[in-house]
Amino acid sequence: MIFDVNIGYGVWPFRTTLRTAAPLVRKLALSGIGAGWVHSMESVWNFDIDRCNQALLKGWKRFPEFKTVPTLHEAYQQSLELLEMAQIPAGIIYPNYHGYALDSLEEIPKVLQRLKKTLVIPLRQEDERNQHPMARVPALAVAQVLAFCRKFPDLKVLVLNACNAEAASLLSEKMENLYCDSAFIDGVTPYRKFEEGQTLDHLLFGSNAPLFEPLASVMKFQEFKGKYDPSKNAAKL
Amino acid sequence: MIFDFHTHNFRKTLPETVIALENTADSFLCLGDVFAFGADPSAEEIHKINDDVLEYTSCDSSHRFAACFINPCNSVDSCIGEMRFRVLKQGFKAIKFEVNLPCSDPAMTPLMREIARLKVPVVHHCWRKSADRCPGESFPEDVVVLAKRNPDVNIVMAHISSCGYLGVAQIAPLKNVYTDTSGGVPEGSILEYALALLGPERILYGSDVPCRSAASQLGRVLGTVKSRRARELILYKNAERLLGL
Repeated sequence: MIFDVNIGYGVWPFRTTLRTAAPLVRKLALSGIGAGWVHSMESVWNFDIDRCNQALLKGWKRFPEFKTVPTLHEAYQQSLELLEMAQIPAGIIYPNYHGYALDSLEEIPKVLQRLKKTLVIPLRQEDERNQHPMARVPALAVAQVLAFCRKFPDLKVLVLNACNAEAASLLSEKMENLYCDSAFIDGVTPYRKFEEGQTLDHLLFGSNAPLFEPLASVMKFQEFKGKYDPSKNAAKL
Repeated sequence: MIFDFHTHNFRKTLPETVIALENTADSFLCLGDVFAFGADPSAEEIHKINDDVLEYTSCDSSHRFAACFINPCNSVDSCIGEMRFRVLKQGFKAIKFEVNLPCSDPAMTPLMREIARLKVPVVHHCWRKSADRCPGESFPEDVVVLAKRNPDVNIVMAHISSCGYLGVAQIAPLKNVYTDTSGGVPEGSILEYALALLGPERILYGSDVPCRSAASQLGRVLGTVKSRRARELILYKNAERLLGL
């Protein structure tokens, strides 16, 4: 069974996707994905973050193998309070979409460190070249993420949707607290490079379903015939 | 049976490309190392790129098929000469255009007339980019113009994810336009949309390897297309029909 750290839930305004949990769980199962972390895609654009988080919790209540990862924002106290729930393993932030700098965060890292939970940071939601021309959002800079991880060495950080070069830059720092997912890593050589750089143990399986077809992500790993076992890496978080 | 309609032989990653294709496809069309000499290759450089394609494909000519890369910014005579030589003398099966000139440009007309006489399909790069667009890159609307001007030429608008829902909708009325699944992120929903609008007869499986993981692009098709008939058409029958194999 594959553990997937990058599953989205809800409406994404630019794509027609599965929007409810049950059919998405069935779709993931067909690709061998039986557990994972789910975040709210809707809260990327919708600033009614508390309602998005409640919808996320409610929508996935019937599927305990899939843990919900609420969207955090320092102005939304309720979002931070959700982290106190035992079944919530992490919180996710969208600095580039929500309009603040990563280094401005104060309370979120403190709460997560106290609770020993993970902070999830997607660099992007889409390939920037394919974004709606009136809704263009630059990717979060790798340098910002690295500076943040150095500032909070005891906070585990999982970076989602990093491209090949970005993931290579992040993982080559060999920071104990920094992990990346595989959703945007592509091409014929990247995994070999990670293996050569001995950075594979901080790379986790992520599908970015339902925006991406989950079987595509799974077959990408089957193509890579190294010693990599994504399910073991996920357990570290 | 799997036919990968969109592959490249980039020199730097050729060993990995060969392995990826051995693992995912029975046959493939090679579209060349199209950026080997930068964004505006000369006629001589085009000739060299096509020589490399010939060398790469001729060692297994029953499974590896060649496309002739053309830069339409070069002289009409050099382009027509190259196409005739490759198709008539060396058995190249298609013509490939990249990002050198938007394909709605009238300069394409004499080349397309020759392609109609040669009776081979065109594979044209296409991407509705909102960032990092090359000056000569084609949007789906450029492909629409090209297809309307040349109804007797089959045109494959490459990169379905990057053409988007709008691009698929734009080509839907044009029966001589196909699309391939190559490149871009492996979104399933756009493929479902194309299946509903174009039907499986006008979609070809392509990976864009080595730019993309062939396994990932194949996984997108296998995960999205459930009907056996549709899978067969997309994965190889359409390619065989278009290339006259």
